[in-house]
Amino acid sequence: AAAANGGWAAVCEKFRTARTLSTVESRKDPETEPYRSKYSARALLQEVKQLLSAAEEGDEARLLAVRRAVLEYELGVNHTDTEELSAGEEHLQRCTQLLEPHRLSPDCVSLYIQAQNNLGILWSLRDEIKTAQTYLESAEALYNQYMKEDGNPPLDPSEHFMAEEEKITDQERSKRFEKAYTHTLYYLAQVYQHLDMIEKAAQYCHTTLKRQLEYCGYHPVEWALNAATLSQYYLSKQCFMEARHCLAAASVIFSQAGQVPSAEDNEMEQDQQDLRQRKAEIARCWIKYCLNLLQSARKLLEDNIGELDPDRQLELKAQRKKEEDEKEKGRKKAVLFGTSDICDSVLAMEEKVSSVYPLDFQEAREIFLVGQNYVLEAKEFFQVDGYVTDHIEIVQDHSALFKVLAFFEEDYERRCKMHKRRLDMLESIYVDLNPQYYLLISRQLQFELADTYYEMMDLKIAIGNRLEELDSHTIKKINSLAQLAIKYYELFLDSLRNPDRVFPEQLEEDVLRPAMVAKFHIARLYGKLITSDSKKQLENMQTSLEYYTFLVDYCEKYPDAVRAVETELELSKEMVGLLPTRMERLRAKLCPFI
Amino acid sequence: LQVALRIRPMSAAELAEGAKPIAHRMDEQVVVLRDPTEDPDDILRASHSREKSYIFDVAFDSTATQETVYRATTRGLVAGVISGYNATVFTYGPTGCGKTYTMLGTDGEPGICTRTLGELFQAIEDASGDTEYEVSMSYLEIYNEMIRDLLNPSLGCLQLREDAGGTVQVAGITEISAISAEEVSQRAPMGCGGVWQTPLPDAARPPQVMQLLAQGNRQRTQEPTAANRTSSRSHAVLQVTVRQWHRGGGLRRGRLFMIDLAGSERAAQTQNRGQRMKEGAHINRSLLALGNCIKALSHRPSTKYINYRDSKLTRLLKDSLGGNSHTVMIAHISPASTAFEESRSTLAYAHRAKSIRTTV
Repeated sequence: AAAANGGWAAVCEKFRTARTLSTVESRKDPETEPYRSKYSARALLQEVKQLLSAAEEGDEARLLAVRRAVLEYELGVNHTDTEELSAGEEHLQRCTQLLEPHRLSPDCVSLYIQAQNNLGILWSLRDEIKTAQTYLESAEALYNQYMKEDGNPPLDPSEHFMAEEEKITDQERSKRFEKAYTHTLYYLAQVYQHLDMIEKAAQYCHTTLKRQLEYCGYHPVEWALNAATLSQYYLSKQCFMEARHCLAAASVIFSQAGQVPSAEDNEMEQDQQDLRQRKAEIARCWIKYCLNLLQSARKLLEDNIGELDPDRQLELKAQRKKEEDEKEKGRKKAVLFGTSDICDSVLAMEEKVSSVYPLDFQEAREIFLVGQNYVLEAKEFFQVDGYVTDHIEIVQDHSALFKVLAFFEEDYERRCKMHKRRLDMLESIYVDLNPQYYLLISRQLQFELADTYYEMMDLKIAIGNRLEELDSHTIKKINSLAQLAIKYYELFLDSLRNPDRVFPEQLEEDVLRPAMVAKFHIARLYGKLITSDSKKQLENMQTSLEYYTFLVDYCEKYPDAVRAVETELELSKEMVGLLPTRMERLRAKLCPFI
Repeated sequence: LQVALRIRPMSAAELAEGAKPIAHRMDEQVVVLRDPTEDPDDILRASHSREKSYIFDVAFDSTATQETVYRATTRGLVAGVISGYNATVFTYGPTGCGKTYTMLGTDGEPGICTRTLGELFQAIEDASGDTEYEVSMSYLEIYNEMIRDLLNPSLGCLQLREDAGGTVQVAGITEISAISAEEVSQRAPMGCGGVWQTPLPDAARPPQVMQLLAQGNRQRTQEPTAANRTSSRSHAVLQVTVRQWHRGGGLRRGRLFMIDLAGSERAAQTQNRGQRMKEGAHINRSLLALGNCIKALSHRPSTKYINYRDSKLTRLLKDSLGGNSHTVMIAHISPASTAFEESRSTLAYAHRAKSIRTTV
């Protein structure tokens, strides 16, 4: 016979109190007694266990077993939380044993899965990740099997200690069940990460995010940031479709975070400030997306001198046509975010920018413009005054966007205009920067400025070469660009000097290549300076020779450096051989009588 | 990165508990820690030595004076700061192991902050006519990512701002300066030879500055639950800037950060019923940690992808930790057997820190 109704209600009450102690009261426990509530809860659970074992078996054997299993589960979690892993494991194992024959039925499946989740956590606390993996994967398989074979919303474990009229709705049951499974996937994501199975970890993170939207409740700002961060992972794997999807969802969900009502004005302002910052951070992720997409396209399209290869372009365009069908299929299989209401908004966001490699200027320009808009958005918050480092990184990204767009531009004059934009934006932030405090950024800017002047000079020469003769205006321009490039390369090299202004004997690994390239470019630049004064020309050649020689000598002294500058070294060796002869000839022309 | 280790003397409380010393300084650089846990069933470990030794750049125990510690760790940084370089000194370790003693010290036994400022003031006094110095300092606390001016706590929470000319600054913080000026040094020396330009009404001499620091330290956030622990979760940052004008040369500016880090001990002490929680590959229950999981997916730091904002402390120190900068960490432990776990994790951490290179 079953326990008297009054008695059963008391048992349920005890059980609920224990749960409240464990989950709610325990948060208020003092630091000196952090498990006080949990120990109290444990005592109560033990009492309930006693009461149950006093009940008779018989027709209700199954029901009794399940109730016992619930208690074993709660005790298992309790012991795990108080760092008593052996006891925790014992209880959880007993729980699954009791449920084993009925684990696929609606009254047991949810509890079984949760028990396995906790066994997974327990084993991870023992640093036995592989064992944790087996439990969690088993839970995953069970869920899938249950959904396939049955699929009805199963009982929530707490219902076994509820009166009939308190039982919860099917909708709520489903929600809680799905939440348990979401945790299974989330724990698996962490396991895979610890096992260095990064791709799988990312996949599970992605699914967890998706399920948070559908089942778990989420905080819009936090969710958006997580999605944006995940997009950065996808970028690192060149998975642009997935990256775009994450970013689009991030933007849509973020916009759900409206005004945060708050009691004090001060707090409100801080929250608004945070919101603006988060929005700007998401904008920066978008910038990286556009930039990466353009740069990856460039890598595919460039030939061995860094120009756009028209044959490869045709090849890729043809290939793309073929792949369009496959892409559609792929898209249907992909893990998409979105309950129906946000699905459309996400799609709309995605349609604003491509996720396939741009193969010509038009396509590149569209992506560029999207990136540029996000630059402006990000700079609204990350202003120079207050966020120097962030602001500069955004400007550097903007410059990089122009640089990669220039690759797609055929017309040299228009390319020059793009580089000019870069120079303007980089110089304006460089000029105010204190190099002592921003050493690394200063160097980056110096180098990029030098490179850009160098590039522009080369373009002007190429443009000039198309004409019959270089006019004096063009010559002045070329020389001025060359001088400015030299200036910035020299500034960069100067920054490497030690406090006594001595250039280091041996260069550190991270500055080796840039330093060598700087020397090499300076050598070349002196060779490009145009002058009608032969004496001056001789001087320039001498300087050029000195710099080429530096490279050759350095690599002889430090053979390890050769790897870093192979191409430049080869050319330098050639020039070191050729220049003296040329100089002799020039000298002979100047002083024919010596 | 230079790492020093300081073992404090056993405290009265520890002796009363019956704790035995298990941490010893073997020589100038080596510290040995013995595992005091008795476990007769642990056959595996019985034959292994229970002692582990750690090597640091310099090690101190209770025989070392404040002066010794100062000379070995911080004194060498002062010349650099005057010449225009940056430097940082950290104290690290669990609460109650002597971080504040090392940093601030007591009236009778002043610590690093006092001695450093003393040395800098001396430099001003000794300055020749061609060189002008300004030494300025501010004292702040970072607690729960909030910044407070310890010299003027009523200002409330302050913001960090980066500016192009200087570095990361705390907007609105109190700065106390001393300038050496020709006219002043020609007058009868005042003791510090400086002119104070501050909100304070009277000329502040070095002893008064020390008083300010002590007072500021008392303003650090106390937590009501940690009854016998003071300021266990706040970082105190003393920021000293030295500006030097040399006639014929330019302006040089060096910054020295002296930081008393928050206690590194774990929040909850268990009732000693089971095994200890290990750091490492354990699963985090809460979905709130999903962000961390995702961030770790692309763990290669690269400018191709976004890294989110660092904590306030690392932002403040960022420009001082790069390039031409010296950093010294002074880790602290208790020698008592009752503090074995904490000591072990502090030693391991400090030991690992030695392999950090502060490159550009």
